[in-house]
Amino acid sequence: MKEKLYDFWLCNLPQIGMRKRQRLLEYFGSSSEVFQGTKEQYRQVAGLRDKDICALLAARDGDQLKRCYDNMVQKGISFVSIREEEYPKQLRQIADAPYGLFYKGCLPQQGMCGVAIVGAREASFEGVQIARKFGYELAANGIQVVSGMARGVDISAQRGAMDVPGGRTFAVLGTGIDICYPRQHIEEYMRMQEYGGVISEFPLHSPPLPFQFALRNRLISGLCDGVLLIEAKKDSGSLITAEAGLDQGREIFVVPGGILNSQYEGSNGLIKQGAVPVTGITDILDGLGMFFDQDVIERKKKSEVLLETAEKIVYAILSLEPIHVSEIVKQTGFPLQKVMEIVLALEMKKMIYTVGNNYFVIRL
Amino acid sequence: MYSVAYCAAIRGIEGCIIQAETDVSEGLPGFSLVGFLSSEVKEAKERVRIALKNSGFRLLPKKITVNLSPADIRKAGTGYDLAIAVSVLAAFGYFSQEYIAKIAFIGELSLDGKIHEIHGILPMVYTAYAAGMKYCIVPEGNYSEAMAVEGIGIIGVSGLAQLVRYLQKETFPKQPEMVCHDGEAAETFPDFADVSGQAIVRRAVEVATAGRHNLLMIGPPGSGKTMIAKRIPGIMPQMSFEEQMEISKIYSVAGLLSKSRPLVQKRPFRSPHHTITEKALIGGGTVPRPGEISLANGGVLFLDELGEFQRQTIDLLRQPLEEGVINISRIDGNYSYPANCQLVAATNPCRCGYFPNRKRCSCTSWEVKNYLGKISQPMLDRMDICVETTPLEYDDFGPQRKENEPSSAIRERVAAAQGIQSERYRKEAFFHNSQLPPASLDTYCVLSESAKSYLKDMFQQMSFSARMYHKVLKVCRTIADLAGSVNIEKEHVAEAVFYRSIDKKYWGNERMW
Repeated sequence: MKEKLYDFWLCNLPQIGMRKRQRLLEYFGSSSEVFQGTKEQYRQVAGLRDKDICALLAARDGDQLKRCYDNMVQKGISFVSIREEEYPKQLRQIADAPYGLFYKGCLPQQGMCGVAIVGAREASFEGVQIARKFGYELAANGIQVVSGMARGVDISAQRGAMDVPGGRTFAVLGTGIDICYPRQHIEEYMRMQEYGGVISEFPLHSPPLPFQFALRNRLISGLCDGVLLIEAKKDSGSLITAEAGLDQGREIFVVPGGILNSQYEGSNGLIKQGAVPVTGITDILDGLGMFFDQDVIERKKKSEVLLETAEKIVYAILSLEPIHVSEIVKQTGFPLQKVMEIVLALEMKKMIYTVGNNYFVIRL
Repeated sequence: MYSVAYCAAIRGIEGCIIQAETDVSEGLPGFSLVGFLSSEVKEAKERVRIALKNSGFRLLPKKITVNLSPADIRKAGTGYDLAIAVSVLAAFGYFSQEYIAKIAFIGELSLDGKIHEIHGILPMVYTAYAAGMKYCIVPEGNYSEAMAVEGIGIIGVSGLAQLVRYLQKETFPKQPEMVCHDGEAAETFPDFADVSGQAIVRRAVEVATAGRHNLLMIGPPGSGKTMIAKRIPGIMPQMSFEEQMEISKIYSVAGLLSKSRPLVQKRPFRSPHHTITEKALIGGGTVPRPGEISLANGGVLFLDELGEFQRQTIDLLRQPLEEGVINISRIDGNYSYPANCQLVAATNPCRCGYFPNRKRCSCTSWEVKNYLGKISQPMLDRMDICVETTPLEYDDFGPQRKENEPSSAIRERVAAAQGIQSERYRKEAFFHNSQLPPASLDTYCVLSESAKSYLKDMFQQMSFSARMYHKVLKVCRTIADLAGSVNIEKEHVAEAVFYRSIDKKYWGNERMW
């Protein structure tokens, strides 16, 4: 327990990043010794500046440390260090494994397969739909979905996983564990703690700094067996995750896209380099070497819902890009009032959804 | 030597009769003016004195006291000059006191004795008429405007000397006939036949106008939002004389009536810029004047780029829109102006204007949310009908385009639907479906069995709020009225639900997808 407290102390110092922490541990051997180190000893550690040493010395208050830890536990936040049993096994194997992890909810279950779903924040309607579909199907087939809770693909995949009762999904944050970023995802942030957990390697209260997101990407892939990319532009952040995944020996899955669509430039580039193109959930299960029989769970197929002829006609016009009602009227030749009725009926059957008020998109 | 002459003061758009009493007595020569006066009325003392002198009247050096009564009403404006002058002259015996007892004098004097026109003549003349005056003397420049009031002799005069001659002879010359009432045809609005495509918006506008529902149009730039809004007054039914009178009074007070346009016969269309101040929008000022919301009374108040308006300014509209009247309190009393207009608002869907067309719109979903987030929710709540316009395609406006329905055809349907409403609500304090209070919804919005279950399904599936329910029901009523149906049927419900106003919670929110 005592040792864990010192681990927590070392991981919760805002001034001490990953590299400095490593150097300190190399020099002292353990966090409790770091805690008891003298000023002169600190000076011996390469890379530590006067500022850092001052911060280290100032933070060495045993009582306050205990209070801080208890406080954190009270808020439902747990801490696990690399020396403990519960620390995710897969993470241990990666280079630059974080010394400690903060988490809310729980950690990914050991021995259960995990897939990371990452992609564009400015995803197209199509990308969002695909992410949600794969999130749902992976979770439904007993695979943990790990992502970064960012806008667009990330959050949609996690929403999809949470559409499954008992689905498991984890978010690795680029901020302190107690900060919900982006703020509007607070609902998912809270729900995720029931469906899985949120994880962060950064000290409590860390604000969202850009470099932290690039760093946490290695954890997203590290916690999984495979990485699924949806809509990655050229030079996008999702490629960092894919690259980290490659370094860690994870399987890379990519949803392919049109060659003229800049949204897929990065994705298609990965396929060229040998990533597995994915057109359905079975591709992922295959790639992971998972044994499966015929009854792979997929999201409800269109054919399973009964539609009237007129509804079928309208549905056929709709696509993954929003289409305005007047366009439907023009193409079907139905009177406006009838189209309105049909569209609402389709919406109620959850076949389509509305973007804004009068634009409609089919639901995958 | 005591005398009285009458004139009128304006409070809001209503007037009240003011007596200008003059007493001439012995004492230190002087001219004093009392009676809760604003500074421009205090200055009337000088104008009147000099105008009298320059018109050729030599007043004896006496103590002259003028009181404007009732003395507890604050007098503002320059319309009292003439009554003060006449009262003073009567006190000196220039003409008979009895003769001027049935005459109201309204006008501003210049130093050379000319009579200048003033604002707000219409409500003043109307007050004089209501008070049983036989004649009303008005500045020549206001003559045509004053002629809108029938049943009182209107005499336009250009100078004080001329007026005194008439009063001394106790006869007025015959006044020129003004043929002004039918001068302006209501048909001068741009026609809906010019609007191509936008079938759903055309229909939504028709529904909104028929039930006086507030309308919000969301759409990309250049999709015709403003064009459509400008045509809405043209599909409203013709105004009755009472409506014309009420609107004209407002315009008179605001000083917007002209000689060529003495009576407002065209439904107003007001489109204030989004930098408008609170006072200009709802009315006010030290001397209260009607704001845009009152100037749009009986017509359309169009707020383009709703999101760009100051939130505080827009929020002020909430209460007057609901009550149809705006009350302004000032230290000297309360003023109320009618504010019974149809609110039509337009906004882009996002900063670049092209959401949800992701080929052109690169706004993040957060930015999209924020753009409409600038509009306050209470304001959105007052929008009964919300539609999205689409960018036009070549076929819509190219040479092959189809003939569009003209305004006159739409107006007939709207008038019929409004006729049904006024018949239905004849015992109520409201006139339009949009004004239905929640308590009366059950009485007036009777749903057929199939519509009932349909509406129930709809609400459970789409998790609407109670407020949304009320709004949809009111719009249902209007759609049923347009169809001439007594009960609300399933298809009416479907259409009404379709027009449901956006909820910011759902706008640009991927969570719902």
